[in-house]
Amino acid sequence: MKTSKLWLGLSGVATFLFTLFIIITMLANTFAGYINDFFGLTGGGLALKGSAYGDADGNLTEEGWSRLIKDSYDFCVQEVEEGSVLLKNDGALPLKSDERKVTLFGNNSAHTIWRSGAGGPTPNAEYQIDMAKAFTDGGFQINQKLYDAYAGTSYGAGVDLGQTNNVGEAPLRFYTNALKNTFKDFNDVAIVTFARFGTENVDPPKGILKLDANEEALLKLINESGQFDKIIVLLNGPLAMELGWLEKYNVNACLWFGNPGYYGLPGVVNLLKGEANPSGHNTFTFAANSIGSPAMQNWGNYNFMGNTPNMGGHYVVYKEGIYVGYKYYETRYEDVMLNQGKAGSKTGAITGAEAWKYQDEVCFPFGFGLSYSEYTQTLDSLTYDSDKDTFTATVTVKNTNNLAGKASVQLYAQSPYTDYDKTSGVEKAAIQLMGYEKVDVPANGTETVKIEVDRYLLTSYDSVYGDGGYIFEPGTYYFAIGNGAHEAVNHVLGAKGVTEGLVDHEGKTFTAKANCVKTYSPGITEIDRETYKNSPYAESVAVENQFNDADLNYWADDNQKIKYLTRNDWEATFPTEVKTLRANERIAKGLDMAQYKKAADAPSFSAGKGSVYEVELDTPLTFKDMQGVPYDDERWDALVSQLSLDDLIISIADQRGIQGVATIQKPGNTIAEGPEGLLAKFTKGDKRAATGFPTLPTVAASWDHKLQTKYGDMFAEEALFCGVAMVNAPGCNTIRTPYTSRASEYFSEDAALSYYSVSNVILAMREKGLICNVKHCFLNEQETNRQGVATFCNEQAIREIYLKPFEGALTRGKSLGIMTAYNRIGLQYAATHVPLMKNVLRGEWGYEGSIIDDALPFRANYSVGADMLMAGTNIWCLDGQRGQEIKNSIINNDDGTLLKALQEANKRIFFALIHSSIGGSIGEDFKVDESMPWWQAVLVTVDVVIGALAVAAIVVFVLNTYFKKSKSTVEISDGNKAGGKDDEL
Amino acid sequence: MNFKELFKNKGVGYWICTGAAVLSLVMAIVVFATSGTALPGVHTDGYVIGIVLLIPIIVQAVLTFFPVRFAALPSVLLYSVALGTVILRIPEAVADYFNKVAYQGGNFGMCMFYFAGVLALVAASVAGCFFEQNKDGKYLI
Repeated sequence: MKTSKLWLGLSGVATFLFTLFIIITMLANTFAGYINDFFGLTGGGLALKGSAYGDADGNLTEEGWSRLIKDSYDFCVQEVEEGSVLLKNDGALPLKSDERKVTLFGNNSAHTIWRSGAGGPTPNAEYQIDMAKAFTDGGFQINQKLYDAYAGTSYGAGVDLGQTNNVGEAPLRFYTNALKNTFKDFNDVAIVTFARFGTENVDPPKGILKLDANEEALLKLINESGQFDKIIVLLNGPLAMELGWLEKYNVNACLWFGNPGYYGLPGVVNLLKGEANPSGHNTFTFAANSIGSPAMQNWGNYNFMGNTPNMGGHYVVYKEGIYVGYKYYETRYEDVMLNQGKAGSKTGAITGAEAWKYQDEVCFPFGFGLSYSEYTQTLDSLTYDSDKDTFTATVTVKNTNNLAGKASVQLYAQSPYTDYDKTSGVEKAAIQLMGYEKVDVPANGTETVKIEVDRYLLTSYDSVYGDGGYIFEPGTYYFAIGNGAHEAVNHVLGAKGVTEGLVDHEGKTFTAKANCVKTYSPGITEIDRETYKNSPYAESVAVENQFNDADLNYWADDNQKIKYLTRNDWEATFPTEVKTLRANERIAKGLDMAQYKKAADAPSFSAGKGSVYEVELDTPLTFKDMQGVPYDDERWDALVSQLSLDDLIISIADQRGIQGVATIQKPGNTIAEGPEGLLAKFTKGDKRAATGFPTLPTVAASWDHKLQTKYGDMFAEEALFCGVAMVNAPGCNTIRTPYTSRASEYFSEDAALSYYSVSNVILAMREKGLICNVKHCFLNEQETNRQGVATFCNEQAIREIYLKPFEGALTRGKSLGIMTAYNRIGLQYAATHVPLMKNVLRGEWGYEGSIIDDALPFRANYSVGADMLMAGTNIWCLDGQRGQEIKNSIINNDDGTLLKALQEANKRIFFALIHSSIGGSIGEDFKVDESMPWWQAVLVTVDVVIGALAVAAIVVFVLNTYFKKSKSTVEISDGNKAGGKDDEL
Repeated sequence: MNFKELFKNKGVGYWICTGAAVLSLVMAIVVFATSGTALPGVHTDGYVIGIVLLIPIIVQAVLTFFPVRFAALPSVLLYSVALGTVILRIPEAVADYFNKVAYQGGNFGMCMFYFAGVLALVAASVAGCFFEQNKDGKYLI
């Protein structure tokens, strides 16, 4: 029966197509936000305003976009020029005008790591500037054959291959005689680029920051070739390589340029030529041994012993306490100099050393950076204003050579390490950054700079006394300036009377200068626990311990309790690895996040209809009516009371944006990814992808408030031209170790530098109406096991190191968005940590904006919607399904408590967005378009048509096979015409 | 039951579907072994693909002994559903690959392998619809 087989076959084809299109429709609906965003349907046609590149009425124009894109690309170059750090220079740089025939060595010279591959835009290949173009455009003749050979290889690390475990260097066999013969024609300078790649979701392996064997072989090859008078090393990427080999391989100069973004490489060329003068300074320490720091002793993959619930199997312990980055190296150095705390012990020293020596441990200190200019700085005065509770330092900067430059002035301080501290466990770093300024200094000129800093930033957090709080102790405080933290601590040591044994990072004798340090005595004899008892942002809120549960000792059995690193005894407390940790009964129970239970006296959801929700106001309120309304105004409650449950779940579900809410005429809005630029496309011009800027460590390394502000400004301008009102950026976690894979999305290892940088960026973004979900709050300093890893840390380190940048973002930066982290704070998933979200963010910091989680769908016993909502999560990132989960919980349990929390979430979201560019752009006549997007209508039509065809094919098959068969059977019996093949058993 | 006679009587359609079932078993094993790292990080339920791939194997085993004329049609539906479970779990990896970012994790190559493998199963089962299951043309239904 050929016809039957044909129809069966067609039924199969139609069934497949129908299933396929149903799946495509499901997929499309899941990512409806993305599709709407792609077709420009997200904002409901709302054109954003507020750009400095707009017309007189603030409208965005094609001409304005043309100016913006030019300024953006120019800014990329400026960022690299002012944020790259000249680490070493024996006079080789700047290159002379006749040194223009160069060979670009290193496979990564042709495989630049533009950015991390995490949050940020795609490249515009047509405008991307690689090294060959940057150097050629800069007037150089490069060894094109070698460059092309590199470009044609697959050794490259980085974004192309997404590998953090591959340095991407070509092996020695790559350099054929033919290639070696090209050296002689381009031998003015050997410019060698080494790179290390970090990204999200995976960490680089321990040890990869050492010089790789292929890299070492390349350096030997260059040296042994005898062709090159100068060897310049360029470091690409935000991870701090071990650099103890520079002298060994006769490297004349070394420049760190981080991630240059897609358009920033000309800045590197300008620096090499001397058309730009280096002025960047390190935002992290270049350690001689990248795995030797206290923090690195507990970093990576650790699994609980025993039974743990879903996504609760991993942990990491921050045993180093506050001694992160330079606060470890410089504090231990001071204690070595002062012969205290057994600091000179070999415990924690570089392998093979008999004693701990600074010059063995650090290649280039935090804050260090060279210039082609030469500066002398003097700390002229330090005054304290008790009314403002601020210090003001006056610094004179003298440029002693005939090249104008930008000088970075860094102000550090040292608090007294008292007997109380030693007995109570309060730790004090020997030096901490307080503030900074950057100043243009003309050739042979002098400038005076004033730096004002809050005394609050000099307090210490004491978690032991009473309920905890910030304290200010009696004693002598030292303020010092210097080219980095190490110079500053040396000046402090000099002021303390240490005259011998001081060394710089190269081990050379250092002479401390009295005119670079000042002292301050607060005039108290007892510890001041009152001045900072209450929050500086919310006077009625006491600052108390909120993170006892983040301390492993809170949970662990007695035999598993740990000791945090203390400068009182470096030898005994230098961190050892917490290799085994049993999940005792308390831990196992504490890891279970399915915690919300409806209270017995919870209000009824269903009974609230018309009085709590779906309320018909006498004078209906719209989103636009809320402009300028303070958050504590009852009109916000009235606004959300109008919404139905279906309305209320719209805004909590992000799908690369939030849909509009027609009931209150709230427009839809995009939520883009960042922070290395926007993952979005322009709505004007050639509609190219937004600019991939040089990344955040470069922004911070400028040590320039103005440049950091400009980064926020350019970013926000691009957001306007992309139709973006909210972005998941910037990041401000701490670069706890050199292996922090997302370092390119963060600013620094230092809390203060991050505090200022992130707030500068965000404040500028806010002024242009961009709401920044600053991420990832907090204790998210490794990618390994990032989803669910139990992260243990003591409260002093939390307050002074890890929370401080977020505090800056939400207070000084006035952010109205924040993103929680994937990890657990102690055992509690960050997005459900009530003390963080309600007591610190909402309470101490008086935060009024919205809180978004990091993209994570429902996971039983971990990311449970009800827990998150009740803790204060407002938006679920890239999770369009959450609304339904919450809705079901409310309806199935008749839960009026959850409904209230849902209404609160909506208030927070609307409050943030009314302060965004949407609020500034919405007109009187705006109406949310409620019609089905055209693409959904097309899909539904196709589904129906193909479904009908499938049913028709099956029906024809059945009719053809079974009903026609009855007739055949008769025929068989009559005349045996039909044969047996189609007979049934 | 005479197995020799049973299988001797099986038609091209049956053998195509059986071959698909064997391939499906292999795919399921691969999925169970690799989905943890192959799929983007947000999809930790990759095992679902493997489970769905096991169902048509069971169906095929049953239909071996209880032949029906339209035996390939349920396979088309089941493999199509399996394809759907793959498609719904890989778009983030595809987006990352073409955007040259590592935002959502996963392995683009493995995701494409899942997709191609299950698509081949669908194609095989569709092809099976065009051929007889039994040589003698005798079926339960």
